[in-house]
Amino acid sequence: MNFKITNSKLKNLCFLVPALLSLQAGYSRKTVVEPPTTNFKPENSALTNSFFSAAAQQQQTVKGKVLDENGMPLPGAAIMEEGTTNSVVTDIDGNFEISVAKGKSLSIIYVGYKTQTIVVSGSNISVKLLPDASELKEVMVIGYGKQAKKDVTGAVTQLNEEQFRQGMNTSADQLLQGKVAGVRVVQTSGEPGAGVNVTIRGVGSIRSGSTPLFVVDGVPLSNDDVSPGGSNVGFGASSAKNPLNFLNTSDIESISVLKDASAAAIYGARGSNGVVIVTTKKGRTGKASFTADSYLGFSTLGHKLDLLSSNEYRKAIKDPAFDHGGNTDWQDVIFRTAVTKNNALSFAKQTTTGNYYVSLSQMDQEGIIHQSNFKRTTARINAAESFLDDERLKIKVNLTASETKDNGVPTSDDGGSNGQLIIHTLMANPTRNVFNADGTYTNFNMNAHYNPAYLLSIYEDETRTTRILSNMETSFRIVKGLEYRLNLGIDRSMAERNTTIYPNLTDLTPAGKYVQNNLESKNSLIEHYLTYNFTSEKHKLEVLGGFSYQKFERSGSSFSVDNISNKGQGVDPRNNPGASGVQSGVAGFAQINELQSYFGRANYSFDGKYLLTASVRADGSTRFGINNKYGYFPSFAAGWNIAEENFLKGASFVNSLKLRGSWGQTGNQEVQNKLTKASYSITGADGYYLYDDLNLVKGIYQPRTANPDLKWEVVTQYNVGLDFSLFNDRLYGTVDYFNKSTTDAILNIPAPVLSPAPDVYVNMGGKIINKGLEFMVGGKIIDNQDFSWSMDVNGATLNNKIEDLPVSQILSGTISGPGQSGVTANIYKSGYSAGSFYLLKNIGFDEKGAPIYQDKDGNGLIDDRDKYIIESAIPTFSYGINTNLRYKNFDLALSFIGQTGGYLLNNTGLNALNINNLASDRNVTSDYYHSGANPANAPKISTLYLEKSDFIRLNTARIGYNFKPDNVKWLQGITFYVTGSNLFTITNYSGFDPLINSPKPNNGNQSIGIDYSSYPTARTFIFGTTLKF
Amino acid sequence: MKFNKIFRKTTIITACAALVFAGCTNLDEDVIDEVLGNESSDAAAALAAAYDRLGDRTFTDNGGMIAMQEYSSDIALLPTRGSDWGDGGKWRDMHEYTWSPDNAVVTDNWNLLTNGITRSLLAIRAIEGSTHPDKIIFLAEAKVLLAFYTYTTLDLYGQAPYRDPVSSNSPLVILKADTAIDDLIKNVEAEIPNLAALGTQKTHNGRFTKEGAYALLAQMYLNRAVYKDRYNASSSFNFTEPAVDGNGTDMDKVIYYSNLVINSGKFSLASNYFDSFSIDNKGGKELIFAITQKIDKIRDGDNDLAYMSCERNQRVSPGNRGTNGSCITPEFYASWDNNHDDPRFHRYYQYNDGTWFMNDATTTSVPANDFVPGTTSPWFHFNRGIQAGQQYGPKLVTGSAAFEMVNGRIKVSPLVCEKSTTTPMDFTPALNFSNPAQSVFAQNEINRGARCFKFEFDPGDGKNNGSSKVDIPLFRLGGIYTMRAEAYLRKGETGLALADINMLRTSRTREGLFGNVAGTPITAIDMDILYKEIGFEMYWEMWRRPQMVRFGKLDLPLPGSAKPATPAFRRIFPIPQQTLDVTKGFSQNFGYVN
Repeated sequence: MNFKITNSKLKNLCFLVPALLSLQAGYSRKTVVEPPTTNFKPENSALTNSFFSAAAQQQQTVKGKVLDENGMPLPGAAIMEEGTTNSVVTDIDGNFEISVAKGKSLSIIYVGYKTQTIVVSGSNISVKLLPDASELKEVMVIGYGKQAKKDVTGAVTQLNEEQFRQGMNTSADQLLQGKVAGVRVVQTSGEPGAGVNVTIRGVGSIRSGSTPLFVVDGVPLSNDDVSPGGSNVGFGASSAKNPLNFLNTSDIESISVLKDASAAAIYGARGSNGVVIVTTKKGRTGKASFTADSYLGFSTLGHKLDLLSSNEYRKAIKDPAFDHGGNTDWQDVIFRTAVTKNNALSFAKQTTTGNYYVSLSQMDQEGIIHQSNFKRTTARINAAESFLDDERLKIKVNLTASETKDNGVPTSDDGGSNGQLIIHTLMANPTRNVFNADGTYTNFNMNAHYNPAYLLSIYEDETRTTRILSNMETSFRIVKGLEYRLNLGIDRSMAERNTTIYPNLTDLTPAGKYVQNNLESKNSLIEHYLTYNFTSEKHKLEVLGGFSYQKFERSGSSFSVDNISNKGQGVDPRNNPGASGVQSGVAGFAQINELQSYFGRANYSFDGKYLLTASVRADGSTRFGINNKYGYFPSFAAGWNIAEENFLKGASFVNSLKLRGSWGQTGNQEVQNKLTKASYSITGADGYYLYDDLNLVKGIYQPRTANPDLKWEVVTQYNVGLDFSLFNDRLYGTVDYFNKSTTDAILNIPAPVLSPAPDVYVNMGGKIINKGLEFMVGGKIIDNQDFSWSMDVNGATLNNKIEDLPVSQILSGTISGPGQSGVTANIYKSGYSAGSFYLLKNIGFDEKGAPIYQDKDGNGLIDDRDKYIIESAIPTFSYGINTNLRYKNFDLALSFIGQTGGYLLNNTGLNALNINNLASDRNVTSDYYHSGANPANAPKISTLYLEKSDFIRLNTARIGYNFKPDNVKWLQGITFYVTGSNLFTITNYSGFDPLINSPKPNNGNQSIGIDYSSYPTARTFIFGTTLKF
Repeated sequence: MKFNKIFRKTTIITACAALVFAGCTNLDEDVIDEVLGNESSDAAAALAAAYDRLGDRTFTDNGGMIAMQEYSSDIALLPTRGSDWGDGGKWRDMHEYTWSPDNAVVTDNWNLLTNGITRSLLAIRAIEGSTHPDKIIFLAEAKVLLAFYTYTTLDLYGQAPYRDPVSSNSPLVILKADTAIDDLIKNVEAEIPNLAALGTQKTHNGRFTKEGAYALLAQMYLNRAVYKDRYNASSSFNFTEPAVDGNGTDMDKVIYYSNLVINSGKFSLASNYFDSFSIDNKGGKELIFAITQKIDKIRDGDNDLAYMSCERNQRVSPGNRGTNGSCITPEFYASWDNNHDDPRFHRYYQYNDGTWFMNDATTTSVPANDFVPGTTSPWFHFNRGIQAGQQYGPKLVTGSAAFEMVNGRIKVSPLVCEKSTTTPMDFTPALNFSNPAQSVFAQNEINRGARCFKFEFDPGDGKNNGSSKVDIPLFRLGGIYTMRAEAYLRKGETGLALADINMLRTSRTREGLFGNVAGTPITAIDMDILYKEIGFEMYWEMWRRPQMVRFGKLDLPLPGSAKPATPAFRRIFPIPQQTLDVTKGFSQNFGYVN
């Protein structure tokens, strides 16, 4: 055999690695023989001199049992007689026997638990170990590995299961809300399964693409949607659902957030928005465990808007023709109490050489709007096993498959002047009835005046998404300390979305339309790397170097059928699109992009005091121009464990104190494919009737010009942090200051004149700077067997600024509504924060009720030059407060979130609730009615609709009761719990929810701080039971 | 065993390390869903794309030339109507003369026109590199199209970009109206021998032919004096300057090229003035150069010139409606005083059973035997021309998508405004803005303004309001007569000018209701009369703003509208800010602050 590597077909060689490994696996037992290592080493080896004082008199056999905090047996716990080498290990049932004299002390030691010392008094001992929550011992998941918390030099926050946001969570990103300083989790809509905006340390991009990289069990996911967006069949096109919906959140063990460049630079060109590493569960030590969790949830509209009632409306209108004699609260008609059923079960075990975790779940979540629904079924198998001598070869497989079914309602973000369901619900005249006398829906039968219940009845939108994520990690120890690792992953999804508007009496597609959108994606990963660990008394070195190749394939197709048959007549178009109607359009796409990377990292620590980390990743991407194929992303960090220094050794109140500093560069390559390639096609749409037969001659269409220089955005980030743990770990916390500067930001700007394409993607010369201070302070206020109370507070400030933008301004934040085409609310301009608002300043109403605007230039005219830039679309301070109380079998957890310093533009108010509605047969909010505005005013964007988004919210509250019936041996415990989400919010914001960010991009540039209520947020109570045996 | 040796530790380490650091791909992007390329050798496709730009929004869309040339004139405006047409003030700007370098209409049209220039340049390059049998006429057409786009850009913005099409990286040249106009004229004149005569070599009036080029040359000469002295304080432009070739004056050239068209025998004035703007106007006898429009679901024609002025409750079929946007100014309406019997002012529609739709209480129904082509939707025909006063028409049955019927006929009722159902659809010629400086109507005022139904509303498939088969005239025989009349009058040849104007007046006849009587001639003419007469002939055809400049009217206020007196710099629009941001070489036009 010849393993000589040649240049040809390197791709094939990559896949030879598994073959090579399997050959080697069958061979290594003979070639490499290592002495067996001891499984147990006493932590404190300073007791060697007690060898000599060992007394052998009065020896007796002591039997005992070691249990964990839940009363489960702990196999493999070490029992050691103090001051001797006399030790035993518990068996599979946690039992041990040791020969020891009375009055001697036994230490019971188990990794991850607090060591207990007991004095031998009888011959039978039962010991319950408590987990060691010591900060120092915590192991953090970082990129391509794990690290003891005390060795971490970057800004990394890890949440374990018990710290996740509680309640009804459909996706992993929601688990982070309010839990990590500097991580903002904002829903784009309250619809079940809707997208979530996660931003870490501010907005570093102008284009859409500020989402962090999500890595699940070592597989970096693509941030692209996995389900298609909805087509516009009359209510605007709607966004795709959250691609992270496929994970069953109860399968997640921990989530690590890599915030600074030192931590994230190992992910190179995808690290600049931060990295979120999701790790799923594995079997834990002990007997096999079975967990069943089941809850029933009830959701209602979180905040109903105060609109005019029918009686108030009758008084408000000037024209009696607008009184239609009815009495309807349209919010009550459209919103409902939604029921959610969730069932999850899992079983798991850790064996001496491997572990497994298997789970099944189903969530069936109704939305608070009739007909909307989210249903997910998932299955997961995680298994690991070790082979060969002394676990030399380890193989771990994670496999999850899920199907989600989303039933949407017409609540898109770009309903335009026709609006959408929510807008029509809010605007609907309260004196109209829902039904006619004959039981048919009233259809208001005017443009932009539709019975919202009727709209619901003519619309169907169903998306089915199947996603399978699987990876296999193999690690092979070549020699002691040197391991080769191989990670093969595949992420495959298929989705079909069927959107139908049936023939109807509105002027929104009156003849009906059916559209099917299909989307497929495949993300395959091959990664291999070598790790080397060296530990001596003073030195600890970890080196890692490797290669990663990832290929993303995406394709989609769509077709539509017009003039379909009426609802309930004939065949449902989903089942046979050809059954009725006329085909009206077919389209499709297929794209591939690839990333090829080399990465390396070294961690060095001296004496546990001085820590150094350096990493680099070279990322090559097909998305970038030939002149810039590879980007290099270095980082450096240093840490100083001050508590280890002699001058603090004596200070018993200091458990740990670490100062960290880092510098590094990360990239952002989240742009469309094909941008660097000129496009050229011959299409009918750009053709003309050239000859006298008037047949269409196709014309040349050039939407893109080549840009061989396009490259990634670069984020250069400094971070200084301090971690501390004091008073026996009773008070702990972290403070970080960061300064993050984006250069070479990718912008889509108008092309220079005479370019065939209207716009062009370029790396801009300016900067986007985000800086801020993050803190987390926690304390165990009370900590004893029966009663414990802990609390932590996290918060982050954010200061964002754009400098040296190459164009005078970029407008974004498209406003929806009648008379609002081309109207925007956000501006990106040098010297101001990203997505500042750019608006006329309303200073009240004149005697006729017409709005008065500040005449900034004093020329007597109100025009664009009178617009003000108002900063802070992004709140300047966001915080979370979490507290846990446990008293005997009861536990109570409260979680508050809040923000200050930001504004929201209430587009819902501008569109749906303008006082103009009173002059056009529609409803309005009470506040606006009483504001003094003249009902004839045309809707015009101004600061009148700009409101502070400050709020504090009791985000979740949970009360649980745990018990274990003594007489049921097989049962480990039952927990009953009630969790409430979005329980109350203190805010002056007048819309549904101040924590919202509707996606309103303009030409691919993201919007910030606009509320166009696509679907309001719910308040939810769930009642659940967790059973373990 | 041999394997023993191969798998020594060092070998393993080396092999693993080699594999770890071996690449998989050279990172060439694999594009599989489109054909890529930079250059075209397809001469026809390149020329088709250059023509496409005319009809793809530029001269057909509500935000295109109608907004630039007509909504900014004394003929039309697009006011804010209650909740509609606010749109950030971009429409009001056009009427109130408050546009700034980031007004969306100003920016969009700059992009459209300069894209027309780009496409023409690409076409020239592609055609020159081709062996197409029509190479000679294609190349000539591409060059004349380039001149037409450039001329229009210079008319609106005073500057236009150019690049030598032969080399792909030749430098950007910025043309200025005062000097470039002469080159444009020379370039077009040079291509005339190479152009086809209309109707030969498979051409039709949707392409630039010799006749189209004559019309363009007449227009360029008519405006040459303005291009040379745009900001003349008293608007006394020197129209009788020697022509580019020194042979006669500009006005002589206007007459010369007009004569070539008029005397070609290929065109004649339509007796039904509105025929030139109707669905069946293909090959119309007045149309010299028009944008060919079809509804083919691929590049559908645009219905905006008809749709925009139509109220939302004015329905040509149960599935169609208007959008209650633009209207005409009180000043323009008043200019028709004592001239309402002009066949160009208004024309009643006669149904096939003889019923005239009188648009008043006397017509209570019309027959329901005309259907939108290819459908079973009844087709209701409104009258043409300028509509004022209370409007009548079909109404929908409540809760249904069908017309109200009476005795098997479409019932005709007085209409109300759709978005303000208590406001009668009374198109009052007076606008009476509550703030005279702002063209803003409250919700209960959305009926105001007389409407222009000059272009026929194409119902399409009876369900969409956006597409149309009406060809959009760019050069029409009537327009050639107005140009020649103006040239005569500017030369002092009053009699000839009067004759041309009366030719236009008397060639058109009224509908049968009025005995098909011809229009009446006028007896005298001067500059003000001529200006009015040009309006009667050419309204809503995107020619007005340059006429206002030539006649010194542009700077004047319109007291019944919201257009104030404006400084001379507003005679052209600013270069869009976004262009200044990304293209070096342009400087902002005089008077505009960035």
